Amino acid sequence: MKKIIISPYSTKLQDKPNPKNYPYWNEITKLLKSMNYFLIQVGVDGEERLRNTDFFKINLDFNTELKELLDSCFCWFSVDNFFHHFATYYKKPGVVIFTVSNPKLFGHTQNLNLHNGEEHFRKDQFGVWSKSEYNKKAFIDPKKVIEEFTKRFQ
Amino acid sequence: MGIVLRHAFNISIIIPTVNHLENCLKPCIESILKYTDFSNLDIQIVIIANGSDEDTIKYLQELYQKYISFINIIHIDQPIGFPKAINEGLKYSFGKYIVILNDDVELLHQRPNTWLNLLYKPFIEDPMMGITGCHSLICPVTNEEFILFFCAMIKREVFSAVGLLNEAFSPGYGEDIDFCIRAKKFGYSIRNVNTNIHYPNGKDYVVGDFPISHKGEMTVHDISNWEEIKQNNNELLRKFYAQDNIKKENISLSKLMEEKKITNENILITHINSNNVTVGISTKDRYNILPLTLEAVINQTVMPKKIFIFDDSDNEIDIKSDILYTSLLHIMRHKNIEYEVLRGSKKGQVHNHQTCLELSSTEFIWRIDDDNIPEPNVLEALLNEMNKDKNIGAIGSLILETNATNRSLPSFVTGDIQDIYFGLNPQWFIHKDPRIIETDHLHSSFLYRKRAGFPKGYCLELSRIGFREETIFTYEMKRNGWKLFIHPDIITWHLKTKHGGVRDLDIKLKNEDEALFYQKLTTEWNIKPRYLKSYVLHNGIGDHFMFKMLLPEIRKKYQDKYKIIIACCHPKVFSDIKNDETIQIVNVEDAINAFGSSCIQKNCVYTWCKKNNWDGSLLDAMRILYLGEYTNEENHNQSVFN
Repeated sequence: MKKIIISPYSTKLQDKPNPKNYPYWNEITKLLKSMNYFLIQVGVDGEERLRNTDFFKINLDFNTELKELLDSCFCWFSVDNFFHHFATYYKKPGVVIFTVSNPKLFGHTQNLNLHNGEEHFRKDQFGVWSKSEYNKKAFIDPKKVIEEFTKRFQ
Repeated sequence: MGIVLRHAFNISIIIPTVNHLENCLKPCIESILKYTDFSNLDIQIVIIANGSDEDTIKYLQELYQKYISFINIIHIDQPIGFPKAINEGLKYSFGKYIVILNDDVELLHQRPNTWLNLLYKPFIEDPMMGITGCHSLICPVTNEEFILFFCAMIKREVFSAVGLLNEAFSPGYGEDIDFCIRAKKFGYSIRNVNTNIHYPNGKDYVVGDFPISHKGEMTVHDISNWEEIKQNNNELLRKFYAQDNIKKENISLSKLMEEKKITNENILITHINSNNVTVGISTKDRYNILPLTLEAVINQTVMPKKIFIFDDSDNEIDIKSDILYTSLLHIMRHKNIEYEVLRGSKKGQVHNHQTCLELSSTEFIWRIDDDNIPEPNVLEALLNEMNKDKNIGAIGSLILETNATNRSLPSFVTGDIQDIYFGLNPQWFIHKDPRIIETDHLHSSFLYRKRAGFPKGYCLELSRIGFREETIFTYEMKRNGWKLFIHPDIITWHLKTKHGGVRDLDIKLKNEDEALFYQKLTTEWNIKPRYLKSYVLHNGIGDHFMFKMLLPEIRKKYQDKYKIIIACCHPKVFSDIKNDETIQIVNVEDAINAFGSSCIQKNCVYTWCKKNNWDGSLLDAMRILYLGEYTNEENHNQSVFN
């Protein structure tokens, strides 16, 4: 069974949801599970566990445990958080679900960078996140995500 | 035994004695008491008993008890020789006129004070009279007339002008010749008041009109190698004063002063006294802040012997008429600190400090910039360290700016000469560890051993600015095998001002000095200098990983010439990178300590992107920011955010 790492959350903001956080992860995991992948969610203390995942591993040491996990997985899914930079550094391709940040600026070409249209990108791409609003329209359809994933990785 | 402080003394009679109590000292003292009037308490006797036996000490104790109002006894365990004994006696002498007297003289029958009046009379007649005595000779080595110091009267100001007796002539012989020549060079006259000297057949003393008898060389015959000492001291005189050697030697104070064209006219103010440290301050147009430096020096817990102030000011003021300066000079007098304010040669501080090095007669020299304020314990602490290890050539305190936030020592700042272009010196930071640390060079103010200053001395090829002069001077010491240290537990404050000093001079001169230094560093010293390439990552782990992607390119580009410093929030990202000679991972606080908090913004890739309306990838932005046109190797001490 092929392993897929899922890193679903970006840093928590103090008084509002992080606009980078994707609301349809449970749909994604359901679809991936139906494709017979072994799903390992990674994160930190206090983060919510997704449905349909086989493991939820928190606070992994990125130099050792997370790196080993990365080496052993087939692919990974993340939002625009640290994970895609980490995986790119180790040259392991994966899927990044962007929302309001522009993958041309913050993504890496080795990965499948998905978004729901440039019109949803925030104006000030380099501004602080506390000033950006959560935009429901900015989220790409989970079926589209799986479709693109299948095209690229299967 | 003690000292009676009486500032009203007009004449101080200094008598060194070793032993020979019965045949010398007793008759000498008794004759003085018999033929001198002490009733006005304006005449003082200072006896320097050095290496004296118990009988002599007992006699002197009784003498002191009996004549406590005008006799002072200084007891030194070991024999120290005539010149040192006289110099020691001068510390306790308060008279305007100093009478030097051997203990093998005896005053002959006379009306009270006749002998003193005879010695004193020429001073009334001639304002430039410096030394009188009852016997003079022509020195066969120097061909100069001199007063023999078995009995001589010297105006106190002569000591101020020419210095003390030269202790190089210890245990004695020739010091009177040397002193008389120096006095004459300063324009003072000497006079033998005894006009009818003759040597009675079969007697070993001279007589004449002057009521004194001198047994002559009685005590020196106790010294087994007396002939050898005479020979050596004649050789010294030859070195100091024989015409052929004048330009080659630099031992004589007067000759040095002559070479430096420090004439009586150039000496603005002078005063004399004790200890083992000379302070050298070179100043230029900083009359407003120099008093702070002087005040700090005279408030040290250990007093220096002498302060040289070299005034290079373009707009010189007469500090003798300035109440602040005159007050400070008065305090120096009270504290027995000698001082000289000299007109500088206007060739800059390098030449002034070189002159200080050559003129000073102490073991240690404390060079201080005119905008420095040492804490009161600095000199004492530096001297303590110096005295622990004779191989220490120089040691400096921390130099902290008064108008800046003083920060902790960043882990990557070193005193290595190859890191000179980092533009950061460990002396500028607060250290957590108070123990002294070794360094390759020192900055600004430091205490150094005079011997370590030679043979190279200061680099006189530098411009008036003297940029890098302390670095060159101290590193040359290091090259000569001396150790250099920083004492992190003591502070000298740096009053950084926009004007005065070298800051008013042409920046071109600084660049010329820098070029000269670079040449010396790379060619003469064969040092391969390193520059500093620093990066501050005040951002998330993801950004750290992005930066890490560039690291191979950064290494390739910079590691030959640079030390790469990565100051970051998540050092764990770089935990697989070994800190070595080429790269060092530090925390952001280290970078802030080194460069100030603005380094964060200057290194922020997001700020850079925003400012440049960047629409490429963040990785490319980092590539330009961290590897691109922001590197300027010509500006040696620039880091990426400086």
